[in-house]
Amino acid sequence: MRMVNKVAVVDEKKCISCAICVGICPVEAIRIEKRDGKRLAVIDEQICLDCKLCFTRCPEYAVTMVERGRPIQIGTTMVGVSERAVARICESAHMYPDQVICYCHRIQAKEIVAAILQGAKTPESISRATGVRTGCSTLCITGVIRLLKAAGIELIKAPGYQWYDLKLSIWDVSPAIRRKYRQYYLTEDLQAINEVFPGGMKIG
Amino acid sequence: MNATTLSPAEPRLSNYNMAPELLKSRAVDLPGLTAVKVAELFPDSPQPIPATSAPEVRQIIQERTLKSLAKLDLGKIQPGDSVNILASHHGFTIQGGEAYAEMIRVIRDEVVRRCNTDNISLRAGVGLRFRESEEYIQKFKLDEYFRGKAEGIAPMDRGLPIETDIGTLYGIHKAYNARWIIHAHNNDIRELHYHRALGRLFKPFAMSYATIETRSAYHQSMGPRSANLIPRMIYESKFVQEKFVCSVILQVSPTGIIGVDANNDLAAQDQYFTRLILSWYGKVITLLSRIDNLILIIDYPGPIPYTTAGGILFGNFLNANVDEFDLNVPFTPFTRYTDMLYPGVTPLKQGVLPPPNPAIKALVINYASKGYPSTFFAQQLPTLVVGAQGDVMRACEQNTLFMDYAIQVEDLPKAVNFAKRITGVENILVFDGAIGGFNVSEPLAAEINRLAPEVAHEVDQVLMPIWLKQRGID
Repeated sequence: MRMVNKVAVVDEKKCISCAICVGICPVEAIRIEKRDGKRLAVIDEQICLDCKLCFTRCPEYAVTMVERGRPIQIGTTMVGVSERAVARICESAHMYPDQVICYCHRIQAKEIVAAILQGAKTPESISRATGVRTGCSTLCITGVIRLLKAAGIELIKAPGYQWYDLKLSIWDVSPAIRRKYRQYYLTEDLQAINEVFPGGMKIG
Repeated sequence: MNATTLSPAEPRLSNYNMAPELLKSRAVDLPGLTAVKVAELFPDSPQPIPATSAPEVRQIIQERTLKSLAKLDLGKIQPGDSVNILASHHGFTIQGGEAYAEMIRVIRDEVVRRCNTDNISLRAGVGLRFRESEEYIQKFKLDEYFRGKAEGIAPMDRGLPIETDIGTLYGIHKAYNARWIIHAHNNDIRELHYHRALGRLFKPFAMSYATIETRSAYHQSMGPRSANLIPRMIYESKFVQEKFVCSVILQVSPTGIIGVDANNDLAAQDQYFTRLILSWYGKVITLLSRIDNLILIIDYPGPIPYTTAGGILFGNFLNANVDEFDLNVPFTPFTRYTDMLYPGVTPLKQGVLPPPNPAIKALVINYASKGYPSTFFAQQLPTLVVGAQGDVMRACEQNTLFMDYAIQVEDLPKAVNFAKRITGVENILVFDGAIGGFNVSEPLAAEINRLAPEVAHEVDQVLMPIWLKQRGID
């Protein structure tokens, strides 16, 4: 569980309603609304998890981060979640339940699976439940995608600027490509990865 | 600082660092430090450019860039065509960034002059500090130079699909929204733990110019060596090949900036630089790997693993207990493939992952940037954070747990004395941005000087042939 102490606030005078912040927010906390005849980005402070993406990408520098009146707590409880179901989905994704997916907040695979089992069906809803993708917002997305797919949930184009339908992993690289690009140690890495991570397949 | 030490990098005014006035002291001011210089350790090291001031750097880089571009075919670019010069933040961190900024300016001017187009944009990618390149664009007035067409780009910006031989990958739309692209990069060793000298020059195609999915696949879903196929596949895609004009590389070595190299064929250029990287950096890293124990001080305005001295990174030293150039080694102490296996201080899989360099008995962080997930380092090494730097780490959204594993100490001398007391170690190695060498404690300097000749011989005679053969280079 993590305490979130700050929240993003939009300066209405600077906002040009370009909606870049809407497209990049990993928890879908921002929407464009008409207020007093002007279109503005409006942030739902109950959803904002202080990732600062809108703050760092706004071309007009219209977003600031301010202290919350009352911090909010973010994280998924494992109470009532089947350990067997978590283990099965993780193994299918070639992961350990305790494996770190989010390097910033040290969120583990089992927490993401718990969110999925509790009803999260998209990377955004998983981020709202767990806080994953609210640090660097970059490195952990394929871990989230792999767990969603392992749970039988297929993704299509993301609601914002991202795509999310990435199918690439070491297990997806064809034997022909492994042979063609031997110098990249694909076969050796597949073997090494399968020895370390659970659920590994035999080399084809 | 005394007469025998090297100057550390200046504090940097940035959203990602503490205010310069909060930096109370520098490691180089500690008593008993001296410098070891790469050119003296390895006399066959390349000569850096003979410049001591920013104007001299600009003049020499201008000459070298022009000379290098003169041999290139820019004939693809027609009058009025749009061109994106693709850059990365890291180039601007090399020796203060003047050389890289000047190289970029000259590329622009040459394209204008030779191709009769001024529709040229600069697109500068970032690591995980998403406004960092904007700061450099401002510092070097590149937006004015590019007539308002210089822009920082980040991995969560609007993307576009790129079809490759290994499937659909994703680039940043603004990187590719011109008819032509020019790759403006550098050959700094940087993240050897990721690139493994296996396509070093290609890497920005999976990082600086790529969106989150592609970057994440590189770090989470391929493997510690094979991930380097991703940038290669993007570069070789029909989409990129139809836009690619040339690559211009700021040539650097552990002794400093060497010059500029340009090529229409990135694969050929990468092979040329692979040999140089193995030789130049191989000796320095192998030499430092022979040190048994030390206290390591970080004192540089960059993210923790990217803090630098003598042309190498703290990250290189952290991994130096294994030979990262040896491609038969799958897992090295730190990559994201190992980080993910450490929910706590011990790994989920025992007996497979090498530990971080056991020579590092304590880590003292006097000065570093926020904005790179670094909790792993504090989890794995006894870590002391000095003064206001502790507040920087606590405020970092990418390091929300870092200070749970570190202790904050009031000032640098107290932190170092405490580190010496708890470890019983006197050796000190500093990553402070020193150019051409390292600031170290005097006994450690003597040890490094003693070890250098045998390491040079071993690298030249034993290791280089292995490293080259593994990469298919004669």
